[in-house]
Amino acid sequence: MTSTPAGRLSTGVPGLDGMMGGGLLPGDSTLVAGSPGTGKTTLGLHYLAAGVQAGQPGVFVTFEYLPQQIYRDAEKKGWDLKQWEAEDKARLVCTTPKILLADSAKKGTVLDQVVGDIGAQRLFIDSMSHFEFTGMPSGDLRERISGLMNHLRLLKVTTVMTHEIAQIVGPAVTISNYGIEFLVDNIVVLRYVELEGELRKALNVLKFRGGGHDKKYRVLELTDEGMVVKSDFAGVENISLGSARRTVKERAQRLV
Amino acid sequence: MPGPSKKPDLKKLLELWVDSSLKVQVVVFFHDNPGIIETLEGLAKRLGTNVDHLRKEIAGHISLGILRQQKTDGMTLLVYDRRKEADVQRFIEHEMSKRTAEASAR
Ligand SMILES: Nc1ncnc2c1ncn2[C@@H]1O[C@H](COP(=O)(O)OP(=O)(O)OP(=O)(O)O)[C@@H](O)[C@H]1O
Ligand SMILES: [Mg+2]
Repeated sequence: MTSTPAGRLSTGVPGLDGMMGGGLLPGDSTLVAGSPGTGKTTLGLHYLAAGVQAGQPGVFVTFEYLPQQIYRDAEKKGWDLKQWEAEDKARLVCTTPKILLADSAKKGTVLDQVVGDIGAQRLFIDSMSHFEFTGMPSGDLRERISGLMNHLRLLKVTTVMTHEIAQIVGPAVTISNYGIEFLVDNIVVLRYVELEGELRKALNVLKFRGGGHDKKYRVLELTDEGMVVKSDFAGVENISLGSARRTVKERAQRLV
Repeated sequence: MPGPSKKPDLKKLLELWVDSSLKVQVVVFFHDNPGIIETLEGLAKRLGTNVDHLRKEIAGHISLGILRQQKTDGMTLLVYDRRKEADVQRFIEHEMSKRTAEASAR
Protein backbone atom coordinates (compact mmCIF):
# COMPACT_ATOMS: atom_id res chain seq x y z
CA MET A 1 0.00 0.00 0.00
CA THR A 2 1.33 3.47 -0.85
CA SER A 3 1.63 5.92 2.01
CA THR A 4 -0.99 8.58 2.55
CA PRO A 5 0.21 12.21 2.44
CA ALA A 6 0.08 14.15 5.71
CA GLY A 7 -3.31 15.72 6.34
CA ARG A 8 -5.18 13.21 4.20
CA LEU A 9 -7.15 10.09 5.04
CA SER A 10 -6.83 6.99 2.92
CA THR A 11 -10.04 5.48 1.60
CA GLY A 12 -8.32 2.11 1.65
CA VAL A 13 -9.30 1.47 -1.96
CA PRO A 14 -6.21 0.90 -4.11
CA GLY A 15 -6.17 3.50 -6.86
CA LEU A 16 -8.82 5.82 -5.42
CA ASP A 17 -6.74 8.03 -3.10
CA GLY A 18 -4.54 9.03 -6.01
CA MET A 19 -7.57 10.34 -7.87
CA MET A 20 -8.27 12.73 -4.98
CA GLY A 21 -4.87 14.26 -4.44
CA GLY A 22 -3.78 11.54 -2.02
CA GLY A 23 -6.91 11.03 0.05
CA LEU A 24 -9.82 12.63 1.85
CA LEU A 25 -9.49 15.83 3.84
CA PRO A 26 -10.20 15.45 7.56
CA GLY A 27 -13.72 16.49 8.50
CA ASP A 28 -15.02 16.37 4.94
CA SER A 29 -18.07 14.47 3.79
CA THR A 30 -17.99 12.23 0.74
CA LEU A 31 -20.96 10.80 -1.07
CA VAL A 32 -20.49 7.49 -2.83
CA ALA A 33 -23.38 7.24 -5.25
CA GLY A 34 -23.77 4.01 -7.12
CA SER A 35 -26.02 1.63 -8.97
CA PRO A 36 -27.00 -1.64 -7.26
CA GLY A 37 -24.09 -4.02 -6.67
CA THR A 38 -21.34 -1.61 -7.74
CA GLY A 39 -19.46 -1.99 -4.46
CA LYS A 40 -20.72 0.83 -2.22
CA THR A 41 -20.74 -1.27 0.94
CA THR A 42 -17.38 -2.81 0.05
CA LEU A 43 -15.91 0.69 -0.24
CA GLY A 44 -17.14 1.38 3.30
CA LEU A 45 -15.38 -1.70 4.63
CA HIS A 46 -12.15 -0.59 2.94
CA TYR A 47 -12.57 2.83 4.53
CA LEU A 48 -13.02 1.29 7.97
CA ALA A 49 -10.08 -1.10 7.47
CA ALA A 50 -7.80 1.75 6.40
CA GLY A 51 -8.79 3.58 9.58
CA VAL A 52 -8.00 0.61 11.77
CA GLN A 53 -4.60 0.39 10.11
CA ALA A 54 -3.96 4.12 10.58
CA GLY A 55 -5.09 4.15 14.22
CA GLN A 56 -8.28 6.05 13.36
CA PRO A 57 -11.28 4.27 14.88
CA GLY A 58 -14.38 4.16 12.72
CA VAL A 59 -18.13 3.76 13.00
CA PHE A 60 -20.07 1.88 10.31
CA VAL A 61 -23.78 2.69 10.28
CA THR A 62 -26.09 0.38 8.39
CA PHE A 63 -29.84 0.59 7.87
CA GLU A 64 -29.98 -3.01 6.69
CA TYR A 65 -32.26 -5.22 8.70
CA LEU A 66 -29.53 -7.35 10.25
CA PRO A 67 -25.82 -6.56 10.47
CA GLN A 68 -24.78 -10.23 10.43
CA GLN A 69 -24.38 -10.07 6.66
CA ILE A 70 -21.84 -7.27 6.99
CA TYR A 71 -19.72 -9.28 9.42
CA ARG A 72 -19.77 -12.12 6.91
CA ASP A 73 -18.91 -9.94 3.91
CA ALA A 74 -16.03 -8.37 5.84
CA GLU A 75 -14.73 -11.75 6.96
CA LYS A 76 -14.70 -13.02 3.36
CA LYS A 77 -12.32 -10.19 2.51
CA GLY A 78 -10.12 -10.94 5.50
CA TRP A 79 -11.36 -8.19 7.83
CA ASP A 80 -12.30 -9.28 11.33
CA LEU A 81 -14.86 -6.65 12.22
CA LYS A 82 -15.79 -8.42 15.48
CA GLN A 83 -12.17 -8.30 16.58
CA TRP A 84 -11.95 -4.60 15.73
CA GLU A 85 -15.01 -4.02 17.84
CA ALA A 86 -13.54 -5.99 20.73
CA GLU A 87 -10.48 -3.74 20.53
CA ASP A 88 -12.60 -0.56 20.30
CA LYS A 89 -11.21 0.21 16.84
CA ALA A 90 -14.60 0.04 15.18
CA ARG A 91 -18.31 -0.10 15.84
CA LEU A 92 -21.05 -1.43 13.64
CA VAL A 93 -24.33 0.34 14.32
CA CYS A 94 -27.57 -1.00 12.91
CA THR A 95 -30.49 1.36 13.33
CA THR A 96 -33.15 3.35 11.53
CA PRO A 97 -32.84 6.79 9.89
CA LYS A 98 -35.34 8.22 12.36
CA ILE A 99 -33.25 7.11 15.33
CA LEU A 100 -30.07 8.41 13.73
CA LEU A 101 -31.59 11.88 13.40
CA ALA A 102 -33.09 11.89 16.90
CA ASP A 103 -31.47 14.13 19.46
CA SER A 104 -31.78 14.38 23.19
CA ALA A 105 -30.67 17.46 25.07
CA LYS A 106 -29.01 15.36 27.75
CA LYS A 107 -27.12 12.70 25.86
CA GLY A 108 -26.93 14.04 22.33
CA THR A 109 -27.54 11.78 19.38
CA VAL A 110 -26.96 8.06 19.17
CA LEU A 111 -24.01 8.90 16.92
CA ASP A 112 -22.49 11.24 19.51
CA GLN A 113 -22.48 8.38 21.96
CA VAL A 114 -20.97 5.78 19.66
CA VAL A 115 -18.39 8.19 18.26
CA GLY A 116 -17.48 9.26 21.79
CA ASP A 117 -17.33 5.67 22.98
CA ILE A 118 -14.37 4.72 20.77
CA GLY A 119 -13.07 8.16 19.84
CA ALA A 120 -14.08 7.61 16.23
CA GLN A 121 -12.46 9.72 13.53
CA ARG A 122 -14.19 7.99 10.63
CA LEU A 123 -17.83 7.44 9.90
CA PHE A 124 -19.53 5.47 7.16
CA ILE A 125 -23.30 5.60 6.59
CA ASP A 126 -24.92 2.98 4.34
CA SER A 127 -27.10 4.34 2.86
CA MET A 128 -28.59 7.82 2.73
CA SER A 129 -31.28 6.50 0.36
CA HIS A 130 -33.07 5.12 3.40
CA PHE A 131 -33.84 8.67 4.55
CA GLU A 132 -36.16 8.95 1.57
CA PHE A 133 -38.32 6.21 3.10
CA THR A 134 -38.97 8.19 6.28
CA GLY A 135 -41.89 9.89 4.57
CA MET A 136 -40.51 13.35 5.38
CA PRO A 137 -41.16 16.01 2.71
CA SER A 138 -37.98 16.57 0.70
CA GLY A 139 -37.55 20.16 1.94
CA ASP A 140 -37.62 19.04 5.59
CA LEU A 141 -35.39 16.14 4.82
CA ARG A 142 -32.84 18.34 3.17
CA GLU A 143 -32.81 20.57 6.22
CA ARG A 144 -32.37 17.64 8.60
CA ILE A 145 -29.56 16.12 6.52
CA SER A 146 -27.90 19.51 6.25
CA GLY A 147 -28.11 19.72 10.05
CA LEU A 148 -26.63 16.24 10.33
CA MET A 149 -23.69 17.24 8.10
CA ASN A 150 -22.95 20.29 10.22
CA HIS A 151 -23.18 18.19 13.33
CA LEU A 152 -20.72 15.64 11.91
CA ARG A 153 -18.30 18.41 11.09
CA LEU A 154 -18.46 19.60 14.72
CA LEU A 155 -17.88 16.01 15.84
CA LYS A 156 -14.68 16.17 13.76
CA VAL A 157 -15.34 12.90 11.99
CA THR A 158 -14.58 12.34 8.33
CA THR A 159 -17.72 10.93 6.77
CA VAL A 160 -18.30 8.70 3.79
CA MET A 161 -21.90 7.94 2.96
CA THR A 162 -23.57 6.01 0.20
CA HIS A 163 -26.60 6.67 -1.94
CA GLU A 164 -28.22 4.37 -4.43
CA ILE A 165 -28.54 5.30 -8.08
CA ALA A 166 -31.58 3.43 -9.32
CA GLN A 167 -30.50 3.34 -12.96
CA ILE A 168 -28.35 0.44 -14.11
CA VAL A 169 -27.21 1.99 -17.39
CA GLY A 170 -28.27 5.01 -19.40
CA PRO A 171 -27.55 8.71 -19.46
CA ALA A 172 -29.88 9.90 -16.72
CA VAL A 173 -28.19 9.91 -13.36
CA THR A 174 -30.32 11.28 -10.59
CA ILE A 175 -28.84 10.82 -7.17
CA SER A 176 -31.42 11.88 -4.61
CA ASN A 177 -34.70 13.71 -4.51
CA TYR A 178 -33.61 15.99 -1.65
CA GLY A 179 -30.40 17.35 -3.14
CA ILE A 180 -27.85 15.54 -0.99
CA GLU A 181 -25.33 16.05 -3.80
CA PHE A 182 -25.23 19.75 -2.87
CA LEU A 183 -24.69 19.13 0.83
CA VAL A 184 -21.49 17.09 0.59
CA ASP A 185 -17.89 18.10 -0.12
CA ASN A 186 -17.05 15.26 -2.47
CA ILE A 187 -18.89 12.89 -4.77
CA VAL A 188 -17.69 9.57 -6.12
CA VAL A 189 -19.90 7.85 -8.69
CA LEU A 190 -19.93 4.09 -9.23
CA ARG A 191 -21.84 2.89 -12.26
CA TYR A 192 -22.23 0.33 -14.97
CA VAL A 193 -21.10 0.93 -18.50
CA GLU A 194 -22.07 -1.22 -21.41
CA LEU A 195 -19.11 -1.72 -23.65
CA GLU A 196 -19.42 -3.97 -26.69
CA GLY A 197 -22.14 -6.04 -25.13
CA GLU A 198 -20.43 -6.40 -21.77
CA LEU A 199 -21.42 -4.67 -18.54
CA ARG A 200 -18.38 -3.15 -16.89
CA LYS A 201 -18.06 -1.13 -13.71
CA ALA A 202 -16.68 2.40 -13.73
CA LEU A 203 -15.68 4.91 -11.06
CA ASN A 204 -15.53 8.67 -11.38
CA VAL A 205 -14.71 11.44 -8.91
CA LEU A 206 -17.46 13.88 -9.84
CA LYS A 207 -16.68 16.58 -7.33
CA PHE A 208 -13.81 17.14 -4.91
CA ARG A 209 -13.74 20.21 -2.77
CA GLY A 210 -10.17 19.61 -1.66
CA GLY A 211 -8.64 20.76 -4.93
CA GLY A 212 -7.49 19.10 -8.11
CA HIS A 213 -8.77 15.64 -8.83
CA ASP A 214 -8.77 13.03 -11.54
CA LYS A 215 -11.78 13.57 -13.79
CA LYS A 216 -11.51 10.36 -15.77
CA TYR A 217 -13.82 7.40 -15.61
CA ARG A 218 -11.73 4.51 -14.40
CA VAL A 219 -12.21 0.77 -14.53
CA LEU A 220 -13.57 -0.53 -11.25
CA GLU A 221 -13.15 -4.16 -10.28
CA LEU A 222 -14.49 -6.17 -7.37
CA THR A 223 -12.50 -9.22 -6.36
CA ASP A 224 -12.07 -11.54 -3.38
CA GLU A 225 -9.87 -8.86 -1.83
CA GLY A 226 -12.42 -6.12 -2.37
CA MET A 227 -12.37 -3.11 -4.63
CA VAL A 228 -9.62 -1.95 -6.99
CA VAL A 229 -9.61 1.11 -9.23
CA LYS A 230 -7.63 0.47 -12.38
CA SER A 231 -6.64 2.32 -15.53
CA ASP A 232 -8.90 4.62 -17.46
CA PHE A 233 -11.01 3.34 -20.31
CA ALA A 234 -8.40 4.12 -22.95
CA GLY A 235 -9.82 4.72 -26.39
CA VAL A 236 -13.41 4.65 -25.16
CA GLU A 237 -15.90 7.50 -25.27
CA ASN A 238 -19.41 8.26 -24.04
CA ILE A 239 -19.04 6.52 -20.70
CA SER A 240 -21.32 8.97 -18.94
CA LEU A 241 -24.10 7.97 -21.36
CA GLY A 242 -23.89 4.45 -20.00
CA SER A 243 -23.35 2.90 -23.41
CA ALA A 244 -19.77 3.56 -24.28
CA ARG A 245 -18.09 2.94 -27.60
CA ARG A 246 -14.53 2.80 -28.69
CA THR A 247 -13.35 5.95 -30.38
CA VAL A 248 -13.09 6.03 -34.16
CA LYS A 249 -9.31 5.98 -33.88
CA GLU A 250 -9.40 2.96 -31.58
CA ARG A 251 -11.80 1.12 -33.88
CA ALA A 252 -9.67 1.89 -36.93
CA GLN A 253 -6.57 0.67 -35.14
CA ARG A 254 -8.30 -2.58 -34.24
CA LEU A 255 -9.13 -3.20 -37.88
CA VAL A 256 -5.55 -3.12 -39.04
CA MET B 1 -10.48 -17.21 9.48
CA PRO B 2 -10.60 -16.68 13.23
CA GLY B 3 -13.53 -18.39 14.91
CA PRO B 4 -15.91 -16.33 17.02
CA SER B 5 -14.31 -17.15 20.40
CA LYS B 6 -13.58 -19.85 22.93
CA LYS B 7 -16.63 -18.91 24.97
CA PRO B 8 -19.56 -21.33 25.06
CA ASP B 9 -21.34 -21.20 21.75
CA LEU B 10 -24.54 -19.28 22.28
CA LYS B 11 -26.21 -20.85 19.29
CA LYS B 12 -25.46 -24.35 20.61
CA LEU B 13 -26.82 -23.37 23.99
CA LEU B 14 -29.91 -22.13 22.27
CA GLU B 15 -30.34 -25.31 20.30
CA LEU B 16 -30.61 -27.17 23.55
CA TRP B 17 -33.93 -25.49 23.92
CA VAL B 18 -36.17 -25.65 21.01
CA ASP B 19 -38.90 -23.74 22.79
CA SER B 20 -36.53 -21.00 23.85
CA SER B 21 -38.12 -18.21 25.77
CA LEU B 22 -38.11 -14.69 24.42
CA LYS B 23 -35.69 -13.68 27.19
CA VAL B 24 -32.98 -15.84 25.74
CA GLN B 25 -33.88 -14.94 22.17
CA VAL B 26 -33.28 -11.31 23.04
CA VAL B 27 -29.85 -12.07 24.46
CA VAL B 28 -28.80 -14.21 21.53
CA PHE B 29 -30.16 -11.64 19.11
CA PHE B 30 -28.06 -8.86 20.61
CA HIS B 31 -25.05 -11.10 20.99
CA ASP B 32 -25.16 -11.75 17.23
CA ASN B 33 -26.12 -8.18 16.36
CA PRO B 34 -24.61 -6.04 19.12
CA GLY B 35 -24.85 -2.85 17.10
CA ILE B 36 -28.62 -2.76 16.91
CA ILE B 37 -30.18 0.38 18.34
CA GLU B 38 -33.94 0.18 18.23
CA THR B 39 -37.17 1.34 19.76
CA LEU B 40 -39.23 -1.18 21.70
CA GLU B 41 -41.66 -1.30 18.77
CA GLY B 42 -38.86 -1.83 16.25
CA LEU B 43 -37.29 -4.57 18.33
CA ALA B 44 -40.62 -6.35 18.71
CA LYS B 45 -40.96 -6.29 14.92
CA ARG B 46 -37.45 -7.65 14.38
CA LEU B 47 -38.12 -10.47 16.84
CA GLY B 48 -41.58 -11.18 15.55
CA THR B 49 -43.32 -10.58 18.85
CA ASN B 50 -45.61 -7.98 20.34
CA VAL B 51 -44.63 -4.90 22.29
CA ASP B 52 -46.37 -5.72 25.57
CA HIS B 53 -44.88 -9.19 25.76
CA LEU B 54 -41.41 -7.89 24.90
CA ARG B 55 -41.61 -5.06 27.44
CA LYS B 56 -42.23 -7.58 30.22
CA GLU B 57 -39.58 -10.00 29.02
CA ILE B 58 -36.74 -7.46 28.81
CA ALA B 59 -37.27 -5.92 32.25
CA GLY B 60 -34.62 -8.28 33.64
CA HIS B 61 -32.10 -7.39 30.93
CA ILE B 62 -32.55 -3.71 31.71
CA SER B 63 -32.12 -4.13 35.44
CA LEU B 64 -28.99 -6.23 34.79
CA GLY B 65 -27.67 -3.51 32.53
CA ILE B 66 -27.31 -5.78 29.48
CA LEU B 67 -29.82 -3.54 27.77
CA ARG B 68 -29.88 0.17 28.35
CA GLN B 69 -33.07 2.14 27.93
CA GLN B 70 -32.74 5.69 26.72
CA LYS B 71 -35.26 8.40 25.97
CA THR B 72 -34.47 10.42 22.85
CA ASP B 73 -36.79 12.75 20.95
CA GLY B 74 -39.88 11.14 22.44
CA MET B 75 -38.68 7.64 21.55
CA THR B 76 -37.50 5.00 23.99
CA LEU B 77 -34.41 3.39 22.54
CA LEU B 78 -32.85 0.09 23.54
CA VAL B 79 -29.08 -0.16 23.35
CA TYR B 80 -27.06 -3.30 24.05
CA ASP B 81 -24.04 -2.90 26.29
CA ARG B 82 -21.39 -5.04 24.65
CA ARG B 83 -19.01 -4.58 27.54
CA LYS B 84 -21.40 -6.77 29.53
CA GLU B 85 -20.75 -9.98 27.57
CA ALA B 86 -19.65 -11.86 30.71
CA ASP B 87 -22.95 -10.96 32.37
CA VAL B 88 -24.70 -12.21 29.26
CA GLN B 89 -23.03 -15.60 29.65
CA ARG B 90 -24.04 -15.74 33.29
CA PHE B 91 -27.58 -14.74 32.43
CA ILE B 92 -27.86 -17.57 29.93
CA GLU B 93 -26.35 -20.13 32.26
CA HIS B 94 -28.73 -19.05 34.98
CA GLU B 95 -31.73 -19.28 32.66
CA MET B 96 -30.54 -22.68 31.47
CA SER B 97 -30.15 -24.20 34.90
CA LYS B 98 -33.54 -22.83 35.84
CA ARG B 99 -35.02 -24.52 32.78
CA THR B 100 -33.24 -27.79 33.50
CA ALA B 101 -34.53 -27.73 37.09
CA GLU B 102 -38.05 -27.04 35.84
CA ALA B 103 -37.79 -29.87 33.34
CA SER B 104 -36.59 -32.41 35.88
CA ALA B 105 -39.31 -31.34 38.33
CA ARG B 106 -41.94 -32.19 35.76
N1 LIG C 1 -14.94 -12.10 -5.23
C1 LIG C 1 -15.63 -11.32 -6.02
N2 LIG C 1 -15.35 -11.26 -7.34
C2 LIG C 1 -16.08 -10.46 -8.15
N3 LIG C 1 -17.09 -9.71 -7.76
C3 LIG C 1 -17.42 -9.74 -6.47
C4 LIG C 1 -16.71 -10.52 -5.54
N4 LIG C 1 -17.27 -10.34 -4.33
C5 LIG C 1 -18.28 -9.48 -4.52
N5 LIG C 1 -18.38 -9.12 -5.79
C6 LIG C 1 -19.36 -8.19 -6.38
O1 LIG C 1 -19.54 -7.13 -5.47
C7 LIG C 1 -20.85 -6.63 -5.56
C8 LIG C 1 -21.44 -6.44 -4.20
O2 LIG C 1 -20.68 -5.48 -3.53
P1 LIG C 1 -21.39 -4.49 -2.51
O3 LIG C 1 -22.33 -5.22 -1.64
O4 LIG C 1 -20.30 -3.72 -1.88
O5 LIG C 1 -22.18 -3.57 -3.53
P2 LIG C 1 -23.28 -2.49 -3.16
O6 LIG C 1 -23.14 -1.40 -4.17
O7 LIG C 1 -23.18 -2.13 -1.74
O8 LIG C 1 -24.60 -3.32 -3.44
P3 LIG C 1 -26.11 -2.93 -3.02
O9 LIG C 1 -26.60 -2.04 -4.09
O10 LIG C 1 -26.79 -4.26 -3.01
O11 LIG C 1 -26.05 -2.29 -1.69
C9 LIG C 1 -21.65 -7.62 -6.36
O12 LIG C 1 -21.97 -7.04 -7.58
C10 LIG C 1 -20.72 -8.79 -6.55
O13 LIG C 1 -20.87 -9.29 -7.83
MG1 LIG D 1 -24.66 -2.16 -0.20
